[in-house]
Amino acid sequence: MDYFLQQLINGLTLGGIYALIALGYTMVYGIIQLINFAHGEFFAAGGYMGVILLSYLAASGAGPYVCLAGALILTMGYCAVLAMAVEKVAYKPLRHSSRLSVLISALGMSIFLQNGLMLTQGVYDKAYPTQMTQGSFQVAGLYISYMQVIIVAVTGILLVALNALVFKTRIGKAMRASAQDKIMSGLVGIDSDRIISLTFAIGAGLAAAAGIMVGFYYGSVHYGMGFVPGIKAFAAAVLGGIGNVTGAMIGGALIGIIEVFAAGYLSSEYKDVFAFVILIAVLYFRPTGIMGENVDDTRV
Amino acid sequence: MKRFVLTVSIAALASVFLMTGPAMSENLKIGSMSPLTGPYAADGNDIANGVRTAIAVVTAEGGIPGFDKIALSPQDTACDPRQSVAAANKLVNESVSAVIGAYCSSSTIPASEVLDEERILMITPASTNEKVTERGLKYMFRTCGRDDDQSKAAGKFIKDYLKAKTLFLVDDKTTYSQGLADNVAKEAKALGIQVVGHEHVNQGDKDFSAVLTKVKAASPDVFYVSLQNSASGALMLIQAKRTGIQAAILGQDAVYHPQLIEIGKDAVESDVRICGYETALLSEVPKGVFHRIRRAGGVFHLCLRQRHGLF
Amino acid sequence: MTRGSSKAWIALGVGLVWFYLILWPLMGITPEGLQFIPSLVVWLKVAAAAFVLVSLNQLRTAGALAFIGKPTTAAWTEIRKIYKKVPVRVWISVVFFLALVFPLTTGRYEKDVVINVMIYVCLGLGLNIVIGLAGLLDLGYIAFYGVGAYTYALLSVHFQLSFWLCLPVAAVFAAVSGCIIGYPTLRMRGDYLAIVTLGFGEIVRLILNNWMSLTNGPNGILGIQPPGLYWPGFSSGLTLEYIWLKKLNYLYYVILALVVFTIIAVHRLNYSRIGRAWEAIREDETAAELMGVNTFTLKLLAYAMGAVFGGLAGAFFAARMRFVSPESFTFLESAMVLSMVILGGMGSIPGVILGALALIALPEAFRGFELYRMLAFGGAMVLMMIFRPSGFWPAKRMGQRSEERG
Repeated sequence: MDYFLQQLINGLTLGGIYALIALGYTMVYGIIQLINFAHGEFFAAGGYMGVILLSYLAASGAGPYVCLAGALILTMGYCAVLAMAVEKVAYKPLRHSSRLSVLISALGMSIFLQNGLMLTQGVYDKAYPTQMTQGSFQVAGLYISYMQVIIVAVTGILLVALNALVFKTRIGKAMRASAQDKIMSGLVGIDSDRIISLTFAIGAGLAAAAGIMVGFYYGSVHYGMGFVPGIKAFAAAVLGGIGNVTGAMIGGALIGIIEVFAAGYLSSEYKDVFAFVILIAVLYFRPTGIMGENVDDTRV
Repeated sequence: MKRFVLTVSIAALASVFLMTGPAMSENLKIGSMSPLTGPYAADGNDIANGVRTAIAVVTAEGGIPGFDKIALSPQDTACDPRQSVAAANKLVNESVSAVIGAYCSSSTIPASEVLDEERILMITPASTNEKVTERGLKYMFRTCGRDDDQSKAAGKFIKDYLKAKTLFLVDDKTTYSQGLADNVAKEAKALGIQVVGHEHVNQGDKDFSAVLTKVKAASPDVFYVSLQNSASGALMLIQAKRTGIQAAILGQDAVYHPQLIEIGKDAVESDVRICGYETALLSEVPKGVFHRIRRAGGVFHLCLRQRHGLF
Repeated sequence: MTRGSSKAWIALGVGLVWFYLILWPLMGITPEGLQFIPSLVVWLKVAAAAFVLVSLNQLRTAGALAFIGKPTTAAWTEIRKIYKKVPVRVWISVVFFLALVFPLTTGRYEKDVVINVMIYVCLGLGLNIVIGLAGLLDLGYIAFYGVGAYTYALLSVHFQLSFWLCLPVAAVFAAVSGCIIGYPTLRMRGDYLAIVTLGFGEIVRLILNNWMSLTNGPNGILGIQPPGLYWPGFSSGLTLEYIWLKKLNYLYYVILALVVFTIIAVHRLNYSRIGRAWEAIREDETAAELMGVNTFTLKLLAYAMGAVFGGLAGAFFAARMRFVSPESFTFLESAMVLSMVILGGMGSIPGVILGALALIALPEAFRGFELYRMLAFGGAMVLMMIFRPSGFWPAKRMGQRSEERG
């Protein structure tokens, strides 16, 4: 039983990380139907920017809380700016071309950003100042680290906040309108370019938060770290029903838990196979994901 | 008139010799192949920079007789067999005399066939797979140990020094790490150590919590970590500490990198031993190297001592 | 200064400010304090390059470059006229002749790169059937390449079967796996299809990496035979000798034959009844079904046919490398093949060839940049897509959709 619970905690943590990345995927997809391959790179950039700012702030003598809060906010801001720039350069000129063209542009951007990070930050992994958040406590024989609690909590809070943003605010309303019909929403005075920019910024901000938390949780960041979680998060977003915020959350948690349990009970080398098989099975029976989504007959 | 013609032609010949004189002295051109981009860029750049350093040292010590300069052409393989063959062919075109590389065994093997066909010397500093030098290629050499060799050292260390009875292995499914872990498991069984588990993780994984929880449940005496690079080694060690694994942790030579301490911090300082190769027993480790490693945190202490047969 | 030009300069300025905003935090914030010099140096280089490019563009639009531009456009139209006049057959035979003599005039490296390009032409044309004709987004196409490669590798190592015999076997295995992968995905559309095919691609790679007893896992399979051929020998009278086509020259002609076969097959498929049906499915699946097209079988057939060419390319790849390992069949490779198809122009055979050429030759051309190689490649991909959003050589579409008529 201890073993089961411990693995469940592991799975939830991993799922929380996937979910945070998946949120950005799903938001961008919802509004411009783009699988943003560069999204994983925002996550990696967030991880790097976090450690850069943390070491700078710590060196300039700020207290630990100031460091943490400052780094988190500035990093989210940085990644938001980065995402808006990427959108302007690589996606906006292609808004009226085939969706696959944008996909390839996103792929190129992903390679570009990853190598840009490598060139500016060096080929070695960067260590996080983990002593700030190190430590774990034991409950009934289970080891739970503070970071695990923080990751799950932050993911939960962000979900609520994001849902409020999408369904309760004017901006959210504009986003939903833009997602439904860009021409029509333009007619009623919504600047869809600005809304798309904003969506990218919010999605990248969330990925940046995930990047920092991953840095703290695992202790280091690497320029190529966005790629694999990026694919997993994409799978999570689809599993939950792409374009659906709550779905991304559920999908992320599920993929994380499946992976951990497959590794813990079956075989760790085939864990990704199990995750993908379950994904395919779910999509076979529910072709629009768990939470569902209105799929119109979109052509590639 | 005849004489005049003769003088002129001799002068012309002499001037030709004088003019081509400097050009006739040769450059020694060597190539390096390693992943300069992609997930293994850290180790790949270490290799390229290592070759550069070696060239600088050799040049400073007077160079190689008969050659004026040593030129290097570093090639990127991205740890992809196709690109490594392309790189090897490019080096053939550039008519290099020798090649240092590659990093991944799966890149070295096909590339070495190309270079062997053209009779170009290849020396790998990092591909530890036995097959690299076991195919009877005349021009393929290695300066690193072999997987079956390191496993003997590790087996001996586990048995004689750690006096362990049970062993758990984890590798990350690369030619190198898995080959090594398999050999260590074989060695351990031969020495009467019980292998309570052998798990695999995938390349690029960051989260090892599921596997580590398994290790903890099995509570072995020794936990052998066989990973392709030092950064994931550090991740594994940090998470092992967090999970509360009590076993003595043993790593191999690929995690043997300053990065390990930098990232792992106190998780590394507790109880980690790195094992080297038996046949690579460095009878005389340069003193400077020893001190530098010691200053870096003293983690590699035991490894070197073991290499010297001091325990 | 016209209005258009001032707009371009403003865009340049804004862009450069943004670029610095992104660049500086990465390079300038250090624990030792804030530094501006290194990031400014990089920024200035980029800014200078951008400035030159924008100025050139401005001069071009202003007509200052007409003395170069006019003759080139004139020459270009002249060339186009000639191109139009000469029948396509002639062009094809010229290209084919050039391809035939190519290995006689070049070194190892060029041959190696061109062989790689041709392997990817086969892959690209195969994927083109799935995505360009039938309109099914496939992100796991490299799995078929892997199936083909491992089929030949295993048959060659364990049973010493010849390459030519294994070629159709590899194609059949790939086609079967195409059906297996295609079947559950038939109900899905668009991006759901993308993730499921991506998942299948990863599953195949993981199985190749983990099924030790069959595939030897990450160690890969060694000792694969190159293609062999009976060739008349004159050493002891006229005898048939069996020679291994190990040399790059021979391998070049083998893959050239495969490419020619693929091109002809894809061309014929394209203009057959089946090809028309695929295009109908791509344009509007519901309407196609209504018109009596059996979408289920035809979509499955698209997967199988696409897989066949992937399998052929894979078998050749194994024979050429004489070594296979799972590292050659990653998701990135799938993405590369997809990029070739899109970048070249979906559904168009010359387009896919151009796309393969660009995406295989560019990283090789950028070798001189060393560490900056992939950065340049990623940037080039984005730029090519922005400037040619529908590909280098887009296919002509049959007919028009009502909403496009405008």
